[in-house]
Amino acid sequence: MRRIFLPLLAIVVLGGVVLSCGDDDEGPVKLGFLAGLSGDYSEWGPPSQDGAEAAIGVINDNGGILGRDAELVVQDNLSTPEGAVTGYNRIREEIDALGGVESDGAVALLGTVAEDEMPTMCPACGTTVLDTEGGNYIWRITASDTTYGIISAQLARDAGYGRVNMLVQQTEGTESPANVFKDVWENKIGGQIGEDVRFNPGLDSYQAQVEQAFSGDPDAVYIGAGPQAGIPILREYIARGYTAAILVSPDLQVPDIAEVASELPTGRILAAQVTDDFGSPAYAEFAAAHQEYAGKPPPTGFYETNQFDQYIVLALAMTAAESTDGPDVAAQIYSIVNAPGTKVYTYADGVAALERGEQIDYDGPSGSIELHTSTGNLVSPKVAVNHIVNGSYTEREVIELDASLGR
Amino acid sequence: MQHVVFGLTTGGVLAAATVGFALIRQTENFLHIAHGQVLALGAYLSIILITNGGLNVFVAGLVAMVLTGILGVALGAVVFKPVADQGGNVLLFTSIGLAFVIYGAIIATFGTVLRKVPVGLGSRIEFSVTEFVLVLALAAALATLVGWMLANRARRAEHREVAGTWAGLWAARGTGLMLALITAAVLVTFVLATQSDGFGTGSHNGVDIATSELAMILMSLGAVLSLQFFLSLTRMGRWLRAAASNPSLAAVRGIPVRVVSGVVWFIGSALAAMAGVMIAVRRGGVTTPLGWENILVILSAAVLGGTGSIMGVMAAAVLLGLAMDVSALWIPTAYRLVVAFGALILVLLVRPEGLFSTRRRAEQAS
Repeated sequence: MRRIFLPLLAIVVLGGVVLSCGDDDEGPVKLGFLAGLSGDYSEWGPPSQDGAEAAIGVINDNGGILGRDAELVVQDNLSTPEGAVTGYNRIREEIDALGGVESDGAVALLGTVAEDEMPTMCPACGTTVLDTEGGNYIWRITASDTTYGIISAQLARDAGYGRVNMLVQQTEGTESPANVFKDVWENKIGGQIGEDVRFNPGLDSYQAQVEQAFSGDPDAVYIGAGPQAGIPILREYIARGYTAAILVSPDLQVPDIAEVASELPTGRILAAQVTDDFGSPAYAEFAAAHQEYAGKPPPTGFYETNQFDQYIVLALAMTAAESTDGPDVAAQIYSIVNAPGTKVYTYADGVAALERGEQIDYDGPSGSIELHTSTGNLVSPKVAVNHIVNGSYTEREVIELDASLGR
Repeated sequence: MQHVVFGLTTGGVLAAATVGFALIRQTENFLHIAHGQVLALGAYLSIILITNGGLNVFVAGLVAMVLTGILGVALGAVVFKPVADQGGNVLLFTSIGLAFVIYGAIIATFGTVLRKVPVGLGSRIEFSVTEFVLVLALAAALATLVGWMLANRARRAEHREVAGTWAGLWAARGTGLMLALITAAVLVTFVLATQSDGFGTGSHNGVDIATSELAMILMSLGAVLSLQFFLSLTRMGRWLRAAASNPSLAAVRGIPVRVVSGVVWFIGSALAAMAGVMIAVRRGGVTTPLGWENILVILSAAVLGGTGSIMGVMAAAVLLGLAMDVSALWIPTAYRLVVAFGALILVLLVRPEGLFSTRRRAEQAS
C-alpha cells in the first residue's frame, strides 16, 4: 500500500506545483492598490480607487498586459503606517506590483518593497523622505512635500506677509511640508514665525490649539492637518471670528473643508495643489475611462490622475520588459517615462510603439512623468493655486516654483 | 484666558460621558470598555437623524439618547446578565469583545468616511473680565447654597432607616462640596490663565463663549445634577444605590434588582449618547475611531473621581478638562493627553482610591 501511496502523493504534489506555476503565468497580472480607504485619508479613498479602476479598465480594453488581464487587488491601509505594513503583508505574495501608496505607508514600506523587489508607485505621497530615498523600487509620480512647503512660503512672500504662525498635526504627511515651509520661510525668505503649535490628531476639540495659533496677531497661519482635525479647526476659526489668512497643506484641499470654509471671503484661504494636464489627449482618455468605469466624470484634487498614471506606467514597463518580475519591471520604468522616445499619451499607443521596437516617453493625464533617475521623483510637478469659491476649491492659476527658494 | 472656557466645555462633555460609565461601574462592578463605542453609536445616530431625518440637533440628540439607552438595556440583559456571576474579569473582557462588535457594526452600517455634522457652533457671547468674574461668583454662591440645602437634607436623612443611606448622605453632602471645588478650580485657573497670556492684549479682549459651548456646559451640568438628585431623592435612586451596595441583600429586601439594572444601563448608555452628540457637534464630524479615542480619557476621569460619588466623578472630569486645555498655556498642546494621564498617575500615587471616593469611608463606617 505504501509503495503505491507515496508515488501517488508525490505526483499529486508535483502536479499541484506545476499547475500553480502555470496559473501564475497565465492568470491575471495582479496590481496592488494599498491606500487609506478608512481613517484620515478616507476622503481620498473612493476617488483614488476610481482612478485606479479606470486604468485597469483601459489596460484590459487594450489587450491587457502581455496578453493577460490586469486585476486590481484592493487593500485598505487604515491611513496608518501600521495598517500599511499589515495590508502589504496580506497581499505581497499575490501581487506583481504595488500602487496607491501614501506618505505614511511609503515610509513604512520603503525597505520592505526593496527587499521584495516589488515595483511600487507613490501617486499621492509627498513625504520628504522620498526626496532622497526612492528610485530603485519605489517611484513618486506626484509633487514632494518639499515642493508644497516651498510653494506655501512663496505664496506667503508674494502676499506680503511678515509674521506667520503655525498649527500642525503631528503626522508624517502633515509635518513634512510644514517643516519645509518653516525652513524656507525663515531661512530663505527671512519671514518671522510666531507661534508654532503642534498637536496630535483624534481630539474632541482643538480650541486651545487654535487660540494659541492665532495669538499675537499674525498675518497668516499655516495649517497642516488632515480633514478630521481640519474641520473642527476651521469651525473654531470661523466661530471665534479670527481674520488672519490661512495657508493650508495639501491634505486640507478636499470638498469637506471647502464646504466648511464656504462662508469665508474668497482668498482668505491660500492653497497650492498639484494639477492635471486637462488639455492633453491623455486626460481625454482618462476622463472617458473614468466615466465608463466609475460612472461619473472625474473629480479634481484627489490624485485621481496620478492613480491612473501609476498603473499605465507599470503596465507599459511590464510590456517593455516582456515580464512581470520585479527587477525586470523596475529596470524599464525610466525608459518608459523619460525622454528620449516617442511621445505617447495613451496605453494603446505606448504598447503599439513598444511592439514596433521603439523607446517611448509616456505623459499621462497628470502631466509630465519625467523622473529623476537618481531619486525616482518628478522633475517638474505642475502646481496650481486654488481658492475656495462657492464652497469648492477652484483653480486660479498654475504657478512656477521660484528656483531661488529651492533647498 | 479663553482656555478656561475651553476647559469647562471639554470637562462638561467628558463629565456626561464619564458619569454614565461610572454609574455602570458602580452598580454592575466592572469597567465597561464598550462605553466608548456606545458613545460613538449615539453620535452616528444623531448625525443620521439630522442629515437624513431632517431633525433639529436637540431633537435628534434626544432621540439618539433614547435609542441608545434602549440598546444599552438590551445589551445589559442579553450580553452581560448571563455572565454576571462569572466575576469582573469576565465582564470586562465581554465588554471589550462587545466594543469590537459595535465598532464593526458602525463601520458596516455607516462606512469609514468622515460623517459631517451640519450644525454650526452658534454665535458668540462675549464677556468682559468683570462680567466673567461675576458669573463665576454667582456660580460659587449657588453651589454653596445647593450644598447647604443638601447637607441639611442629609442631616435629616441620617435618622431614617433607608437602604443605602450612607451613599445618600455622602452623595448629598458631596454635591455642594464638589460644586464649590469645581468653582474654586475654575477661579484659580482663571487667575493663573489671566496672568499667563496677557489678558486683554491678545486677539480677544475678554472671554467669549459660543452658544453651542454654553449649551453643552449647561446640559452636562443639568444631566449630572438631575442624576444626582434622582439617586438621592427618589425611591428608584435608593434602590439603585442599595443594589450597587449589596445586590443579594437588596433582592432579599424586595428590591427589583433586574429593573434597577435596566435603569442603570438605560441612563448610562443615554448619557454616553449625549456625550457623543456633543462631541460630534464640537468636532463638526465623526469617524469610526471616535469610541476608541474617547474611552481612555473617560476611564481616567472615572478613576480620578473614584467610586461612590457621581458628583466626584463630575468634578474629576471638569478638573481633567481644565487641566488639558489650560495647560496649553505652559505646555505644548501635543502633550495634552500626557497632562491628563500624568495627573491621573500623580493622583493614584497619592490617593489610589481616587479623589472623591466614598467607598473607603463607607467601608470604615460599616
